[in-house]
Amino acid sequence: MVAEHLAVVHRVAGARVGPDAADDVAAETFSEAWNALSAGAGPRDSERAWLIGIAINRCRMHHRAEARWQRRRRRGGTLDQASTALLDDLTAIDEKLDAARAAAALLRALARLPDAERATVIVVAHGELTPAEAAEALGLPAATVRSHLFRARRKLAGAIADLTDFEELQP
Amino acid sequence: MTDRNDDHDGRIDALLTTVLIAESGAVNLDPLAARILDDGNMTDRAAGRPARSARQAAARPRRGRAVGMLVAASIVALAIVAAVAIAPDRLGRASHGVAAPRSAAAKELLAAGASAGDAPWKPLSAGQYAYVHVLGYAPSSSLLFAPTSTEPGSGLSPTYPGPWSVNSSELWISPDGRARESYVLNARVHAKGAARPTTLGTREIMANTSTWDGVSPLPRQRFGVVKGNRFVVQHDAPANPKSHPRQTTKLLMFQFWSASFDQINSLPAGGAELDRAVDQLIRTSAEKNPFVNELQMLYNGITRDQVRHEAQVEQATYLLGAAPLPPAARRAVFKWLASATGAHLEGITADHLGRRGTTVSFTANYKMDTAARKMTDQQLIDQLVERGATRDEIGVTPTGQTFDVGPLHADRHWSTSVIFDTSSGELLQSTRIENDHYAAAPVVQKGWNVDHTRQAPHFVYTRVANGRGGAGAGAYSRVYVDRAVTTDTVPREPMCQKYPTAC
Repeated sequence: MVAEHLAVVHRVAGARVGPDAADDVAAETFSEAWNALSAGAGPRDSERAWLIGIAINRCRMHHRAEARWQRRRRRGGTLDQASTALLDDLTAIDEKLDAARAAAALLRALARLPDAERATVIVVAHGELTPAEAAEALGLPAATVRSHLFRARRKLAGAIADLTDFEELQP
Repeated sequence: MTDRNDDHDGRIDALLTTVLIAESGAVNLDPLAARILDDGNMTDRAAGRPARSARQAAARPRRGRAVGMLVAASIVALAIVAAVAIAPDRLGRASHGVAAPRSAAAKELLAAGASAGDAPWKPLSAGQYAYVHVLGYAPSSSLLFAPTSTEPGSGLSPTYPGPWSVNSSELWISPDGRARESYVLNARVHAKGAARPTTLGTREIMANTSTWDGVSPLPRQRFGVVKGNRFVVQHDAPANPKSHPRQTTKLLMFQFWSASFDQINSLPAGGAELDRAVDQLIRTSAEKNPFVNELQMLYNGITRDQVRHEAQVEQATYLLGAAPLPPAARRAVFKWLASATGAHLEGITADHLGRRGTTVSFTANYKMDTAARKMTDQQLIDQLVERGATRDEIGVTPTGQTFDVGPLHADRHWSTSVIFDTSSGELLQSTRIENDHYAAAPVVQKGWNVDHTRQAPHFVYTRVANGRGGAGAGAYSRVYVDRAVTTDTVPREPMCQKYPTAC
């Protein structure tokens, strides 16, 4: 379970609370998961969705770290790492500029999203959950998740709407 | 219109995740994975009390509720334990040292042992490595599979029809303890033109590299030293995190090597002394198998003796498959297997790679049968203690509550089978499969609930149930592709040869 899901749990936690607190959130997530499994509880359907749900709840206990991370994001303080990693893979100067602008705009827009919308888009895009799995993970009705997702994506897309081509950034 | 929207959403998601991955940088999760696995050692984990740091413990709320859940779980589990009927002769007591009639399986194992004992051998010298290439086959942890086993009590082995996901591991160890491991996990690669990675089968892993259009996560390597039975990582060279940002870091536990060079070098040269030393080595190293201490097995109505027996048989197969034992010691391990309880000759079969060899399975089939009744939590805890659990492991304070305990009628099947070449004494493959059938549940149907899934290193167990009954099954298979003495540590894995910078 750890081997299979640690990366995605850590990734989702890192997107919420930053990389420093992500280690603690991941460790607490598996600890709680083992407790639940030992007590006969466990995933209803998707193990990954279940673990991400635990991780998102755990993130709430690190709300100070999360607030710090989102403030830093809004100020562009997390951009250096992102830009360096992204730009190394691109050669043309205009691509580099677009990539840097897109990364900055996206991260700021993400930090400005309401908490519920940010959590939803992170678990779907970054945790690779389906909307139905995300609903299970977040403990929300599926319709609510879909509406959070719609609004979050629209705001993120709006933030980069003036960038003509962000295809290059795609994995 | 919908397609265009979906496409647009997909692009936003992909862009966001790319930027978030870049923001977090390349993260090496191995140390964290090791910490998590160390924190949650199997004994504590199974008792519902993962070992936690003080910091984690402080962060954990609602302890009372967790204890309540554990009591409830214990009740159910104890109900299963309460009236387990296991015939004494089915318990895993290997009859070593007792002159017993030789079964057909024992004869084949002894013949293989004789061949192994005659093989030429030189101790490793400075600069040489013991090399082994192993393919591991496991069902996906999220896979609901139908344990299409034989009928209960038939004495035949349970089976798992697949599909498997395949890992490949190459390991080099020098007598001074230096080690390198290169591994390809789950072998998920991008087929040409495909948007998502897919899981490869054996044929693709072993031969069909030309159809790959880029490695998705996975070739990895690490260097370290062997301490006891653990591989201790000193430096972990990542694959290329920039070109493969969805890198999944995984941790392989080293405990299944099951013997250190020191232990191997201190084995007696032969005779009854060697037999006793090998028996001791198998027993002590089996105690490191996480299943031995897993209280969950007790919950399920399996005795600790049975769990030990299963672990010891597997430990013997690991020694034959991966450890650089001298010929006399290999003969002694075959001899140990020949005298172990439950060996059955299956005939000639093929391994996952199509290599044919003599197949012997070790099985246990028994019934777990309990009636509905009322019990107090104290009674249930007492029964767990009788089954070998310590009060510390149980960790629940009885409150005098009475519970309705439902009936359980289940059959459990365990099998570890080995395929070996009698003429050379080489072990080709070992496979462990276990499954349980509950009342009226011969085959798992789509849509049933997974009510418990657990995964130990190299083993996946999934249980599914509906209102009428249920089934559970777990499996792992290990194919020994190659063993050699080498002076270099160049990977031979085809994927690593195709992508040398990644391995």
